[in-house]
Amino acid sequence: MSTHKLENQLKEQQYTFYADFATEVLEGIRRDITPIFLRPRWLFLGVAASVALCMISVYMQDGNLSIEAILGLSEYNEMANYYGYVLL
Amino acid sequence: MKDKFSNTDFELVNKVLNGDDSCFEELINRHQSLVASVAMNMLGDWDEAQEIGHQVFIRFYKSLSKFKQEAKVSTYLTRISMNLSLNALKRRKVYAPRSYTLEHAGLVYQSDLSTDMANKELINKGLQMLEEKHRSVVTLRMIQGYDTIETANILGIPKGTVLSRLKRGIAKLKVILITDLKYEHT
Repeated sequence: MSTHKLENQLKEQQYTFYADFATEVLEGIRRDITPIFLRPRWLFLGVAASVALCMISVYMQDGNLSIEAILGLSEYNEMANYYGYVLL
Repeated sequence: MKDKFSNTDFELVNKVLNGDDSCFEELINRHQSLVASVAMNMLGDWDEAQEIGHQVFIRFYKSLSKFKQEAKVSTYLTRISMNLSLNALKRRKVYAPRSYTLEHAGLVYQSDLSTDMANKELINKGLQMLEEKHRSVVTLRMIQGYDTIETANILGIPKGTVLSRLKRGIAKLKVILITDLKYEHT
């Protein structure tokens, strides 16, 4: 076998993947990359939006944004609570 | 406006970076045979080559933002393919030593494949019997058609080493094909 013949044979050693290869790779990439809601930017926006919704909800319920309102203590009455407990 | 089929590789890369993932599909279609050839000639195993093919393009996608567009996309993909194939060969040595025996090659020799296909299989078996350092140079230089400098850059070895490994690799491959695999008789 001549070196020239071998070199020509080697040039024929080409392969190709199947027709759906690109589609499969793209599916793999979609699976592999981080879900959109876990990306840092979206995660930060999600947390910020949740906090804003909570604040709006508190304000609509209590009419203010005091610490008591946020902690849910604006209507808490210790004495009434005590007597309610004793009367039971 | 040019469609994605007439875009250059670099234009496609920029479009993918701007959020057009359909252009990445075009990049895959353009370069998948290059990746398949490197992986298959280095590994000699179709399933493993496909697995490497997936990994190559996923790794390329993830590193697109770091891709400096100094090298051709094809050269960049060849480098990733070669590195992942060499890593797979290392893992193979550690976890599942595999050797291509003459009996295995004989199965190909006696197969019902057409002569061209049988020759292709037989040469692939011959390549697998070369040392990795010779196989990688023969694959890049003779099969993929890179010149000596490109081959040296992809493998990270000096130009003189490419030349000496190519010479030894071709000589060894001839001996393997003629003596061990009886290539002249196919």
